[in-house]
Amino acid sequence: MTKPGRFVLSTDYATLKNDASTSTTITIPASQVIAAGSQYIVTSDVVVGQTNAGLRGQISSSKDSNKRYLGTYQSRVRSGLITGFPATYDLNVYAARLSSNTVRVTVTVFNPYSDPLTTATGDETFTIYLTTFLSPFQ
Amino acid sequence: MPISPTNAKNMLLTSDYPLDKVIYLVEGSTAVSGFGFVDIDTPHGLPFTPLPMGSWSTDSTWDVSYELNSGPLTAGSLTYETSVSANSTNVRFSANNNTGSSVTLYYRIYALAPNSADDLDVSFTSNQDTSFILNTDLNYTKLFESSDFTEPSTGGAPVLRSFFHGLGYAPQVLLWKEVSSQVTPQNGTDVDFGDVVVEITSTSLNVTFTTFSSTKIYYRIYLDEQS
Repeated sequence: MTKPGRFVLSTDYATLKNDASTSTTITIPASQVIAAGSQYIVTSDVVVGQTNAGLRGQISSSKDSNKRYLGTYQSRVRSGLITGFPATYDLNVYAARLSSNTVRVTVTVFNPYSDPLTTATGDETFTIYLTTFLSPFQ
Repeated sequence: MPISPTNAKNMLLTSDYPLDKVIYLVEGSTAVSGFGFVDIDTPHGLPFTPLPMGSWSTDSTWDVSYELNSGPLTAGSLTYETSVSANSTNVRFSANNNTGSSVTLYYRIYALAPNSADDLDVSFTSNQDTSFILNTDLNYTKLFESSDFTEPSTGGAPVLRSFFHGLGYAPQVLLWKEVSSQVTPQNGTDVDFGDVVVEITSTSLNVTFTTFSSTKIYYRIYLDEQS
């Protein structure tokens, strides 16, 4: 038994090893028309890291001064138009493994309304910063 | 005097900034029925509440694995919703199956220690006789700062707390929140409606609270850049 917090290095405890890092972008085109009850989905794939490597992420948006927020997913509220009137909708960004060394970034917009939704004006580009690290189980 | 952070981030190891020590490991699997959910509690036996993280897979080979609170999507929504939490006694793996078919989920949970546990004895999690823990093929996350703080209920009004790091770049950050004695990792952000919104800048860690419960935050800022 030892005190892990007191050691700079210790072979008594597994540690986390950085594996690789990358960043990628994904853009939601302006003024997309989404049918009632339907979903608009955009994906982008990026190769990073080894099999079974964990992910750490930060995500920024061009519509939010490129502020970086913590995590591999992000939820936002945006304002579009329903029959010409302003209406809010949810936009979600996810980064998750698609295969052993590929990460898929997905942006989804769901139209919960009973009329077509026109999304916000102006393209919105999300930048996803990814770092992979090896699991202590390896 | 510690070397400058700018130089230290490029080094494989520096004695000025410690490496993470994983103080708890557990893995297992569980069947989840169609549209069902499970909570798997495992006693951790630690004299403190650990800071849990982990991953999961639908494949026993772990060829494709996912972070908790993440995973494949079906029609734009998570196919399986997974999470991990810890309290003073147990580590809990939770899963919801959003499909109509039964599935077996494999989980691996590990944990770090909060600052308050620095003076407590903890059993080893790695065997130095059979595995070489450090090698020059990989970089290692180097801890720049770790701390915790408690924010009382804000009554729903946003309150910003900033923690200066001054590194000049956006560092890797890990963060957990504790509400009602349950500690959970923050793996994502609901920017507009989240009760804890975490922003990382080149100079500070900014946490905005919109909480109706007292919330304790544990954070770890690394020298390593999130690039």
